[in-house]
Amino acid sequence: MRLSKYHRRIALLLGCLLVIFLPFIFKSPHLMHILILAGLESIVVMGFVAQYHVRLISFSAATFMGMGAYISAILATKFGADFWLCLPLAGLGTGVFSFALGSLIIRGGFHTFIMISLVFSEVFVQALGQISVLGGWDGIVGIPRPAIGSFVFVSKPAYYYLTLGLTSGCALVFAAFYKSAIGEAWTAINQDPDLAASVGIDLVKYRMVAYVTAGFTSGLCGSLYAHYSCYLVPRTFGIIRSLYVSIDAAVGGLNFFICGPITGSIIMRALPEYLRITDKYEPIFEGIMIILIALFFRKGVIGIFRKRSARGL
Amino acid sequence: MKVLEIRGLTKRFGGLAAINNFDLEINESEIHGIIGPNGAGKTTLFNVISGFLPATIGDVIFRGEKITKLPVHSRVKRGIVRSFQLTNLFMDLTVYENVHVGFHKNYSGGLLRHFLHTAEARKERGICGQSTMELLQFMGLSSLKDELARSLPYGHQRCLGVCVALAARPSLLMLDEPVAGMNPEETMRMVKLIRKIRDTGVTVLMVEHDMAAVADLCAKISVLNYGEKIAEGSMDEISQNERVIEAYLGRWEEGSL
Amino acid sequence: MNFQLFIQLLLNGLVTGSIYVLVATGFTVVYGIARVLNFSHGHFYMLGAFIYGGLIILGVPWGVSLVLAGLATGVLGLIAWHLIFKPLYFDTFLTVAASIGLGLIMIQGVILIAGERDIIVPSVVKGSFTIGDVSISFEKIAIIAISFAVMLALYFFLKTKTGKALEATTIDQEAAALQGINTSRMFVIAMVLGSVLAGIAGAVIVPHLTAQATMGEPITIIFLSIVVVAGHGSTKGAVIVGILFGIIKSFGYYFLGTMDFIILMIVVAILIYVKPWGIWGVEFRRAV
Repeated sequence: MRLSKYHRRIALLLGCLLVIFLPFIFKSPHLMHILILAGLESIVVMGFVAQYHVRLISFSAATFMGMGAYISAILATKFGADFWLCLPLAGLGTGVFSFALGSLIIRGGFHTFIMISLVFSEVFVQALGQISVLGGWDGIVGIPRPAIGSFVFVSKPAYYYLTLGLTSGCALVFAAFYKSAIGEAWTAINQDPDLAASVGIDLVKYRMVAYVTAGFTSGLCGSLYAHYSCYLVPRTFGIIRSLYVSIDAAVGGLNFFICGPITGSIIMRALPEYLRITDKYEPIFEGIMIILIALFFRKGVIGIFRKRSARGL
Repeated sequence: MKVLEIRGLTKRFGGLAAINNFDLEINESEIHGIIGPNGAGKTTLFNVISGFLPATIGDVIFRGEKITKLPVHSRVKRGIVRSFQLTNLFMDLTVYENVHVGFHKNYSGGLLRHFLHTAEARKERGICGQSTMELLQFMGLSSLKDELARSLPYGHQRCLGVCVALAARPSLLMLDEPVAGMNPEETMRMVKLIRKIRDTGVTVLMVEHDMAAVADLCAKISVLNYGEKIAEGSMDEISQNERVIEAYLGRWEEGSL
Repeated sequence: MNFQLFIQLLLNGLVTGSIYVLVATGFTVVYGIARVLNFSHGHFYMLGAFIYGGLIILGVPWGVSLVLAGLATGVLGLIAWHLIFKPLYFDTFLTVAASIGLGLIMIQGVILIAGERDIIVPSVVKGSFTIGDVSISFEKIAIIAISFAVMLALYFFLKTKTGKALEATTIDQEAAALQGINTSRMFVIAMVLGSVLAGIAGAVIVPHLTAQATMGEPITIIFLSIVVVAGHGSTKGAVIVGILFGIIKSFGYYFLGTMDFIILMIVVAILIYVKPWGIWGVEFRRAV
């Protein structure tokens, strides 16, 4: 299916209008809840896709989100910090941490990276669970909601706009990278790492950029997530969550760095609701989706509509 | 000053020495050839010189500086660029985009600048674009600039490979079998191109099997067999060398040439 | 810390270390030779434990149970190779996702058959002996001895013609193929061999612990760390690092309880920092 440029512009405009005015058109809080979760997840998925693009298969996705969530929650519950302070600190903290972890594991090659990011993911969950100061296995409850002055974010539309802002912001960050010389280096690494190295592209450096950016944005996402669901449990941020993130990415299309994650997250969040699949059967649903993608839709959903260009956003 | 000096280079994989006690000297604007039967260690040699593999013992000295422990990108920054035996290209990018990536090392290191798309960053990309067009012209590839690398015929792909390597502004260009698989016409074109490149001041080190091309281009040739240098000199000298003849003959009888 | 305690902790460390060695070597074999990342490897260990436990409870003699447990996991490895790892060989992402999925299925399967509660498997070797002040249980010695025997068998196997072919495939697949080695067959052998090692490890240790459906998870972290620290494809490294980690864990548990993995992770972080490719690792791939 190919749409002409004119049609695409109109569709884009309508899409933007729909997204901006959605809470006024569809009043269902349930729909908004799904979109909020999908929007948050899409940030983490964007991070995964960026890492995948530079040939890093990462299990750090959920870890970063969890780290941001916990930093934010601890700052808010134990130190009474305001959400608007927690958010950037969570992002920065996760960013610093991802810099440290990345420095350790990116140098050793691609297999070391996968293995240690997996190891670390599980270690992170264990550490959260066993340190009682951090709430232990029961997690942290009573995380306060964000507020501006006397206006407290309670209603779904309020959170919807907050999520929309954060997701758009992160999307812009990634887009800025992709369209720059850094993005060019990333694409080169994706196409042929040996050739990229032979013309002087420092693989470790550019991979670190992708990794830390994913860390920072996922940290921000985690923070908002914590202040939305108002309670956190360590188990949420384990290997399985990272696996689901990667499936979202595959469903959307691994070559479409921003549309893919957004589409994938929305589909994977909305479909179970629509098909009335309960939590118990979620693993089977995820499994079936990845098998379908692997067999029939290698290029993901976006790939059905767009020709794969090497630098498709 | 010598462009490249290699002293006592040995590369072992487990117990096997792929390169054993290898010495080499290359001077400014020379075209130096490396030949030898299959499996003699030629590509391994390239990998070690360019930094893709670490040396076990020995030193690689580039313009007086010991680069033995430097990572690949640092060596490229200093001017050592290698091409690949199998055609390595950015297959899903156009010819223009391929070469454009090649110029990447010329960007200043400022990541923030590029992320923010400052005027300076945009100017750098503009210059990069210009240089790309100039180089495409020099190599005779401008008419193909919007073709996908994947869709090019073999000879043009090899040419593009050399072009991408050139974009990285080498002072030492290492070519791994540049005329492999080419017909006589394509070979002649590549030979002329290599000479043209040398005439712009680039020193060339090349591995090749095609003896005619080697004889045409290289003033000095080193012969490698089982990882050791068995002869060095002009084409006339080495083609009369007994050990060289034995090496090729032996392999020919063995059937592994 | 008195001498008796020290010996006990050391002994425990060797017991744990032996198991780590078996599992880590199994993974190294699969990964080093076939270049397959099987993240359900830890669950093969779990399966070995359950099959052994089930057979023992049914009254099958321990020797037979051990062999059957190893065989079963080997067969499962073979099936997994043909169904998952061979078709997805060139797609690392799908291989990893599929192997994790396989692990989940294995856990669910075991829970369905054996229920959710932990199962206690009766020990075969009971009793202990004393040297001086120290009382040493026979069971621990047996575990160490059997693990050692298995590793010795592996060592001799690697000296055979097939074993040498396997080693050649690890170092350089292309070169091995050029020498006439049937690399596909090597991959299958590696896969089966690795899975058998994991299964035997589970079977050997299970009387000492309890059989839990999720017991594969903690061991996964350990063996992945061992393989990375020791260096990809190095069986010698897996042995040394495996024992080392067993001992660290044993002493760490005494001092820090369930937080013992923190020490291990710090050690891992330091070692990876110093040697990103592993202590005995060979930088076999270049710019990747």
